Amino acid sequence: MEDCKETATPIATNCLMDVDEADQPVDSTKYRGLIGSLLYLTTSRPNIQFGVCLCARFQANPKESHFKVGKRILKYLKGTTNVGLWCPCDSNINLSGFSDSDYTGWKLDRKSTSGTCHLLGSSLISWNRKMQACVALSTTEAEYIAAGHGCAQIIWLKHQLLDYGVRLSKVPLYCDNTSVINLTKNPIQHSKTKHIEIRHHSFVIMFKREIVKSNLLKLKINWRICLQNHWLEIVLTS
Amino acid sequence: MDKTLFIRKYDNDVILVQVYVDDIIFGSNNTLCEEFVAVMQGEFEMPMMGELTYFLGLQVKLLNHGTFLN
Repeated sequence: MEDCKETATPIATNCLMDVDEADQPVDSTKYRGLIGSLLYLTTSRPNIQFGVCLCARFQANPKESHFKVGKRILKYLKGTTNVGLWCPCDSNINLSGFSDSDYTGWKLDRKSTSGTCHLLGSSLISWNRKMQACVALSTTEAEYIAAGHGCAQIIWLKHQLLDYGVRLSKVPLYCDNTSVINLTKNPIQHSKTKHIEIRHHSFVIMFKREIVKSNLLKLKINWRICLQNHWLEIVLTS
Repeated sequence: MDKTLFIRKYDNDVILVQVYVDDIIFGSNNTLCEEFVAVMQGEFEMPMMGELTYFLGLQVKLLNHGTFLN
């Protein structure tokens, strides 16, 4: 692994992990060793958390394909040793949130993955990537749940900033799904949306109270931050 | 409300003190930091670690035009 190639992302964009019964089994002790070592690293490198936990889901019966995904994380770590977060002095203190989702990203039970991140001025202050707790029946629902997650985090961050004497009014939340934005503005209970759990509608309440304002981000979120001549790509959902 | 964050304002100067378990990080826009260190060291037996380089497992580099977290 010492002279392996470097990668810019911890997980491949087309990575769809499955039980993979037919694949060659690998030594489970070695696989668990890899997971354990990577888990230890997550305290100082939280950006690999999701990837490590994804691999950890297959610990019971690890296959060659799962081991490859784990090794890719090692390649990512090798490629990003001198990359970090940059917080410039001259940036403003406008908070903005971004949300995206990966519809049925988890093939085993068809659950979607939420991805959110929050910027204070031009510095990244919080990000989150998590498998959703319920099964989304449409891309709109998956995006809606992700936007709800992002919204909850905005409220928390607003409270945190209040401690530092920063009072923010409407915080923009960027979302790349038009239906989600229309749904927040006019929550019509038609057959396609009425099944969405009540708790996910908290987003609508926040919108009405003018805590957040939703914006449409036309481009797919795939932005880069320049850090000491290196590029850190933040891929919200693979 | 964060119970471990302390803010003191004098006219245009401000000092922020954040306590985390047994660590304190603080910053101000003036000489208030030095005064704070003197007061704290007079009252308690605690070492001054100097400029922030390491906090909660993150390496911190303070540069002229910003902060780099690693």
